Amino acid sequence: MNDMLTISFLTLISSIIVYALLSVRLFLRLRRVGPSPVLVFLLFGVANFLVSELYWLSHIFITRENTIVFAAVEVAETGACLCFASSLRTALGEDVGKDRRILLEAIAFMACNTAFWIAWTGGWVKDMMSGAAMCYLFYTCMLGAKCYKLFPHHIRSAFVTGAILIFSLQTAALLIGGDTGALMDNLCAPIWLLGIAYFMFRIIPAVRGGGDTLGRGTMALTYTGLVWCLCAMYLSFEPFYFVPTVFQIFMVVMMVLAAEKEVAGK
Amino acid sequence: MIYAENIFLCIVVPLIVSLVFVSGPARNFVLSFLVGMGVCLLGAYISGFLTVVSGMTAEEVSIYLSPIVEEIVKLLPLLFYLYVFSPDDESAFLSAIAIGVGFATFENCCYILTAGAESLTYTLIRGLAVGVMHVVSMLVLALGLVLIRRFKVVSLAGIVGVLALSMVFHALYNLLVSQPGVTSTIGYILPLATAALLYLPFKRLMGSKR
Repeated sequence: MNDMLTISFLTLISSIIVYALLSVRLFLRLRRVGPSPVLVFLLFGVANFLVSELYWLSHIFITRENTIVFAAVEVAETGACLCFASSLRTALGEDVGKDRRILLEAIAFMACNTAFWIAWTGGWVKDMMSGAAMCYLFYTCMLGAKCYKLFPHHIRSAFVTGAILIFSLQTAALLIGGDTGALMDNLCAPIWLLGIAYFMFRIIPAVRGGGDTLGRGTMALTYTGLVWCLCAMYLSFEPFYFVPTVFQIFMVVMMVLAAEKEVAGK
Repeated sequence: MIYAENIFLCIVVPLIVSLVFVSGPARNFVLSFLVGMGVCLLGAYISGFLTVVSGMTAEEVSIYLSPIVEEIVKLLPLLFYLYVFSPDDESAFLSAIAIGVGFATFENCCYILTAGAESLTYTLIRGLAVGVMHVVSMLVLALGLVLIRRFKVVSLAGIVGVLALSMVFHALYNLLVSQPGVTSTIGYILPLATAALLYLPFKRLMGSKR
């Protein structure tokens, strides 16, 4: 077994343990607080992630291959994104309404991501399916971000610049190819990492209820963090791929904690 | 080769006749059981079509695509029943379980006619694994749909999210049992273990309704 497969196994087993524990925790919380749509949708989302990882693990164990024909994994990730979006949407309530500008921004960001996934993997159907679900999740997160004024103007500009840089580097990597292309692709990693670092910097104190108290906005922030990690994961090659994967697991933990806080606060 | 339509007719005719003499929850169960068998046949047609157009082998289709097709065809009648007839939660669960049982029964009938039923152990495994798996996946779907309806959140995203969970559960089972050895043993245990896990939330949900 090669090193990448070993790391793959290890991250999968860790994520399975974390998601299983989170599912049990959410179920116990639901028993205590009664059926809350925010937590129920979140539980279904985490369960989707759990079954998806179990599927991957079984697939690697059975076939010893890191690739798949048509992935039930993508179906599960699509389902998880939709459940998370429903969870956040019910937490935000009807007040947030709709915003055409934000919708267009979300579509533009996810369409670029999806185009690159298709370019790298060639999987039209599964990439478009995942892209559409993530677009809805991202749109819901952005509605929450707007509602609770989560991102100051300069941070928004920094994220837009980062995204443009990543997409430019990815285009160059695809067009040039070879060693220079690989270098261009590797240059995206620090940008993704900066974004992840920013989210960690904001999320940890917010969830702990320390200095940066965002109140109900914490949930939207953690969900946006997850979207960033997922995008970083899908547009990265091994070994950097494992970095956002680990942070994705961490973001899900933060999402559960933020949602529990939100439900307890209502 | 088996004549699935003939088997289908042979099983459904007495059930259709029985509908005249039963009423209430029993009628609901029999009718949903019939629908489950019908959608099983429909799912087989669609999977057969996909085998031809996708270029995959029959085994690859049964591992990767059939779970998606089968869960969609099982969801549609339940969704129709829930949102058109607005039954109470108990009737919704009864209907979901009957669709799952009907689906599993017809699938098992066809499978046993093809592969033979000489081995009691194998037929028992088939009943306890595949049979329970279809019931569990329907239970997950029903649990999700009933909760979504109870929250008064008509959320397409939520429905598709719940559907995805049952699809991947089904796909995981199919993947595990596709290889002999320890993986298939885990696969055979998976539906019963999940049924045991679901028992508590199911009972709680039914209890909170009353």
